[in-house]
Amino acid sequence: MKINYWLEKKEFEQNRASIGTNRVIEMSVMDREDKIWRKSKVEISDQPIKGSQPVALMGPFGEIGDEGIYHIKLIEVLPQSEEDL
Amino acid sequence: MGYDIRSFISDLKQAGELVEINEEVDWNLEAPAYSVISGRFGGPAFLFNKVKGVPKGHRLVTGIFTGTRRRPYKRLATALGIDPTFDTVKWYKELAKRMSIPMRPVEVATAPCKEVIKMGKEANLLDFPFTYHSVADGGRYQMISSTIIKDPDSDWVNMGNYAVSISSGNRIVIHADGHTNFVALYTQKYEARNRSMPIVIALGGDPAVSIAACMVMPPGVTEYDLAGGMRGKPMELIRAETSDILVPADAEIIIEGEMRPHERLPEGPKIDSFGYSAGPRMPYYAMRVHCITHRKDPILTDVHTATNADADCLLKAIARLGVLPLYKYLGLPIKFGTQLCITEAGGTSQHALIKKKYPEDYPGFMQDIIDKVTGAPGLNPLWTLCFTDDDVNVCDMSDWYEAMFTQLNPAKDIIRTAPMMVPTIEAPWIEPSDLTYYSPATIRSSRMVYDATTKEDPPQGVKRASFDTLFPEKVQKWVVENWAKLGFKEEPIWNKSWLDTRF
Repeated sequence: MKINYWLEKKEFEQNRASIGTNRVIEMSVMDREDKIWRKSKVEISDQPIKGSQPVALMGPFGEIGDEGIYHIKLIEVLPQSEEDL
Repeated sequence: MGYDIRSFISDLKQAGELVEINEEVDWNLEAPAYSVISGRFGGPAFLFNKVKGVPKGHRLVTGIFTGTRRRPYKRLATALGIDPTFDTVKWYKELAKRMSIPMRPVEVATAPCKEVIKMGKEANLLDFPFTYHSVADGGRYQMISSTIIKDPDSDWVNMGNYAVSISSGNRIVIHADGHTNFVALYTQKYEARNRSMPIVIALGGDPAVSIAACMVMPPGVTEYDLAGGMRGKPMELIRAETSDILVPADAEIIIEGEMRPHERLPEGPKIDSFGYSAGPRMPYYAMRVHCITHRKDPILTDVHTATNADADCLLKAIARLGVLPLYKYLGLPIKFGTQLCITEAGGTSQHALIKKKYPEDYPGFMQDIIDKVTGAPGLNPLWTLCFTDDDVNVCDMSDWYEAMFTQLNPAKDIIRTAPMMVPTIEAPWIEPSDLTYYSPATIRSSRMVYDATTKEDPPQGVKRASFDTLFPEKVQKWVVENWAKLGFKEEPIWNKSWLDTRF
């Protein structure tokens, strides 16, 4: 299974109540292609849903875990700065 | 033009120490992996002419500061025109000599770093092959750079090397610790006045600038002067496009921008020198990028923090002298170069070895040193201090080990100070729950002090059985001078030569 995105474990834990609720929340998502974190609107789930992608969780010191256990549906990548608006 | 990174690359290539790679390589782990494996066996530096995902001609060089375990300064010596075969003593003596003659830079009207100018939305950091160094990193980093800022109250220009995180196409986050001049200037002068701080990050150019930027200087000292001294020629500077900051004319890439008061962005984690993680992802100093100027076909220099890779060698090579101006400024009651040594094993910031006379230089000498070292900005990362006798050679680690293992009584000569918060840290934006992660080694750690000095007069009057203590000076000199006549090719390293090294 190819993991394209990372989430911060700490932020993920803070949003754990949203798992599987179809609620759209804002989280930082790292695209592993360019290694840039982007604030994004996502839905998180603990099983694949239509249009979702598996993710891994990055711990405070870079430890990567829970690969493929959770999934996000990327709704929108938010502008990173005023210049992007 | 002066000596620049291209001259250095050419010198390394001529010496058979740099290999050009024309096949495409990825900035994502691949290029750094070349650099790290090469560092393990003293292998070559690499110039990658084709890097995935960046405009054609944007190149990447790695390993140019990598030396060998015995001579970590080998390529730095080449960069500064010093004989790379010099032993440690000769290297430090030559570097100390040059550092003692600083030269003011000169301003020029035109410069290669202005060959391409991109302003506003055109300036995109992702056009350059900033690398992703290791699997536990939270993003892409530039670990060798010259971050230039200016004191708003004087002519002092400060230049430092920090972990620079590429946050997006037009945002950078700088990981600077609280003891640095950077943090002091920004938080105490610009933020306090609610003013944006103009900032420039210079990449490439004369390696002397990069080396000077890695040294910890006291407030008021401009690293350009030091770089001029190391090169034996004034650095050439040109005015930035968006501020009055002077930047190295022969740099490869110049990133200009501002830091707005109290603006922070998440940064980290990053595997830093010696394998430690420099903390969790948390807010650090945010730079808005407004302009990038660069040479045609710019060459980005990348360094890696793995053991014996470039950043590691760079720190080891300047460890002993890189912080000495700071000690001089603080007026520590010790002689520099002969009485105090920051070990290479700990980079520039972890272990200090200090010589102490028996009986003590003056009552309370040791306590004075401990107080100064643990309380002063710039010195507080030193968390292990070892005191030994005056006849121990600061240049010889085996001397230190011998003292540690023979003169130290574990019951009373190991002192552990309580964990302390360094008062210079400005970190109001840190959540209290995150403080436990925040660079614990430099801020909250306890200090360990080893008193490995002789506690009583030795019976025979000779404290340590070594070449320097067992024979009269006349005999020592006779042996050294006749060494070649005895048929040995390699010169003996006569420890006493270290005594001539001063800064």
